[in-house]
Amino acid sequence: MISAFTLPCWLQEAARRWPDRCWIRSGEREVTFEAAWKQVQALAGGLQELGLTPGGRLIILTENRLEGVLLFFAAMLAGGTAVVLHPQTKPEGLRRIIDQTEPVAAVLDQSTASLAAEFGKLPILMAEQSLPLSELRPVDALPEAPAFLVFTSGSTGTPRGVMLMHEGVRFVSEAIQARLDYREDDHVGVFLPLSFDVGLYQLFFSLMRGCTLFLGRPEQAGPELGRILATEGITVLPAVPTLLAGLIKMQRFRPVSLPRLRAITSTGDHLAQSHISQLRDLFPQASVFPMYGLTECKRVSILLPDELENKPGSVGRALDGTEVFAMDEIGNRMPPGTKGELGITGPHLAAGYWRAPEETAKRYRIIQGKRVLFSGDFGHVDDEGFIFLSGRADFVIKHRGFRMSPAEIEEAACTLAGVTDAGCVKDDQRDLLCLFISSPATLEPQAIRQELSRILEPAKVPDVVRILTDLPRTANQKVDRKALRAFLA
Amino acid sequence: MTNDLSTGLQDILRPKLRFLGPHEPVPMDRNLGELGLDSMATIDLLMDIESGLGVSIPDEMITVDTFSTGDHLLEVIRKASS
Repeated sequence: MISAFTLPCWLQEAARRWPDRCWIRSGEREVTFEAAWKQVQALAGGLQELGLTPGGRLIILTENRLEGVLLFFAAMLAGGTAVVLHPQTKPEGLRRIIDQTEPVAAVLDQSTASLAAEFGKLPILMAEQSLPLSELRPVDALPEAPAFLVFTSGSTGTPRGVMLMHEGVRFVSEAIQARLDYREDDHVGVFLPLSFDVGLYQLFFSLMRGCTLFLGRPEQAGPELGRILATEGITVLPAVPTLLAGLIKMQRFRPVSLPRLRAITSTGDHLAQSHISQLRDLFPQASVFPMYGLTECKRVSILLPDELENKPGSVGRALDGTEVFAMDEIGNRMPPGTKGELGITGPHLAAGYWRAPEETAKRYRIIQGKRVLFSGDFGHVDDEGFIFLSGRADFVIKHRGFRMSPAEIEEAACTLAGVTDAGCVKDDQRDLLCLFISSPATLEPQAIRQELSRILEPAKVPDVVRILTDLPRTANQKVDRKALRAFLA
Repeated sequence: MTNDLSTGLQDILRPKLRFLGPHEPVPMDRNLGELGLDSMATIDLLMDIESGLGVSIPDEMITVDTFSTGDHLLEVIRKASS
């Protein structure tokens, strides 16, 4: 049918190898590999009827749910590009994404139905209702069309779609599995949104290895997480540090026995050494894998459990077949141990940002004949290739598993009545997002947060708002975010 | 006693609802997630309820549904304390 490799080939192959095995459990429902493959083919035919042709985009804007997964693969099987968005996307951000991607259709569910109006006259599929099914017509895949786009905050705050290609995703998924090594009998607990690549790639890993996914929702990663892990017999937990901090807290407060949990992976933000040691103390049978990555190449490095002792604080070595090095400002490689912005090369680099050639050229540069991703992260690589991160080269904030631009939050704050200027920084010590504003009027911090919650996604709403008579400024009169850090204490 | 529990719960909830206006009463029928309660804050909420109101919420009641609204939560607390 399709000659080149595409990601749905993995589903087809899994259906052949493990037809009756459960692939995904979600709520009360489950689907086998074979049943999923059949449904995906029929849905792909349905999407073709709806007008999805090779290279066309399908927006999927739902909670983590089975239909979202099946339509994700169906869109790719029809040769299209899937765009999986966070269900809490705000109307303004969504409008920008719709303008950029010009989708053929969109998939919504109850949780996102209120956003339907943003799509104007485009066809909308409601995930809870009957979906279009039809016989799949042969597809000539466009090898240059991305498999899917993952939207991330650009440095200016405009959402940017990272273009992931089928072959690149295959390469990085195989390189990741060479380290994490999921097994056929694994039950992987997904509590991260599928709009976040760490959640999304679990689909590929499970297809490659024939293991079962429990598709949960982020809200379940609170007090009941331990109990779900126990009843579902979860063996692998992909996480972000905030989720693990919650799990640690709950286990101390009300422990649940989790003898089957054998691997915990962490990415998205810095995993504190204290959290690593507490996890090992609470779950002695589980391996902890600190990792480092960014959507622009998905995964950079993974630290193996037997490397934890000798390389505390490291996020591991670069994936096999890829390279990571510290660079000076113009991209010259610096010797081991020297700090600089981290540059990344390898077949896992994404094709760039969707319809944003300038930003693409800034982040993906050709240096001495090699395409290098400028990560924006500062750090060094030791003489054995272990990576140590030390902060961001720009002011991008990583918070609750999201990457966000302070500019976006500051701009939003400045639209509020009475706010003359704003500066946003993260208090890493306490894991709090802090907004400083200046205002001649008497404003209440609580009211500012409430108003911001209407225009920003929940994770981007500051935890702390402080009002100052004036903000510290740099020589050219911009808000001095570095100086604001002094106010955090 | 009934009103005490409700008032006590509202006092515990208020500082955790990041998106609630400064002088608004805690809307007990609204979705707590929409009022800014995230999964981490839900863990703190559970701990504060148990220590502050002197109840122990049974494991099987610790669900997303229980923490969906203040009213739901109050109902579960009442059951647990009776």
